Amino acid sequence: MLYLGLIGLGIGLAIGMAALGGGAGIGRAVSSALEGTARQPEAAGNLRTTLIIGAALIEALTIYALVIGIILMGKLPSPQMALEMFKATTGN
Amino acid sequence: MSTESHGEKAEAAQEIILELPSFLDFTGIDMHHTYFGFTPHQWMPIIMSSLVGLLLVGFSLWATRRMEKIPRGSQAFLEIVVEALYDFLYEMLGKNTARYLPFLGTIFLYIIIMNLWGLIPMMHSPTNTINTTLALAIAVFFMYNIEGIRVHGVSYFKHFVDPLWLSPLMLPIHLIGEVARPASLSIRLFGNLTGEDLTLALLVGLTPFVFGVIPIPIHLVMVFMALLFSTIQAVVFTLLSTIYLSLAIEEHESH
Repeated sequence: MLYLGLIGLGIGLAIGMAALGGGAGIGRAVSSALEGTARQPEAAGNLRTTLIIGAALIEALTIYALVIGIILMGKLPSPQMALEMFKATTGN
Repeated sequence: MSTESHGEKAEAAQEIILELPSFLDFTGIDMHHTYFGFTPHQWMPIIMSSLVGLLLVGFSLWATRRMEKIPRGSQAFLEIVVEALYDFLYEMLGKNTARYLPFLGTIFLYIIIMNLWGLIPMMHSPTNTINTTLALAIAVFFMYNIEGIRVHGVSYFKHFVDPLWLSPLMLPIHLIGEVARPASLSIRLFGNLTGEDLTLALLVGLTPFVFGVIPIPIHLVMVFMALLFSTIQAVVFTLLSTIYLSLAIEEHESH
């Protein structure tokens, strides 16, 4: 029971921390792209391309955490099985 | 409330649907877990990617059945596509672009059509499983390594042991970095597509109904985002493959 609870906790922490890191990274990238566009509006096209590619690369790390989350989610039991396990431990 | 009725209530609870249906679900074969011998064999990516390939080949053959010097119609459309890909790859490959344009252009078109295929009703993207994307990433891996060996000979492997006195430390790090390239390519593409499909299916399951009968399609917002991100992922896959290729065939001056 503790094992399953820790798996659930792991899933939540994985996605949460990945979203935190990814959001911070992409926020910095977009902020510098905006600043560059404000300084030199002619370079907006180049900056936009670099920004999109950079954002996709940073987001890939968040996606790795999502994949781990999905793998761990497969280890959780279905509600019927979880109910039976709960009944077995509480002796009902 | 006794546990008996609680158990019945749990069985009567609705399952969460994690994937929209496809036309293959009406054929009765389990498309995701059919067993050939002892390996789980997925039919869906094979059938869907074959359909995409047939569509691309058929359209190209039909558009170029009578090529003219001044293009009209679909031949003009294909020329726009090929020229845009050539310009996109020219910045990174330089004079070798014409040699690698078929492979990298095919990678781009194949992946973008496969990504967008899932948004057609009753279809699934073949790239939302790691089988397809890992196959593409391994193909790219072999391609850039073999081209590096073709251009440089056996001295292509010199960059692993460049400062020889540092090689016991740098060699494992380099090898792990080399393995990480196809792994990250495949997991990035498949993770993005799986996320999109999951979000679409969950949003469709959460559709609110006005007066109980008229549905409001709130998943359309996700469809637009899926269009954008599918395109971006195809561009990023092709771009990274091109960068790995250009790193492999350039002259390694220093590390």
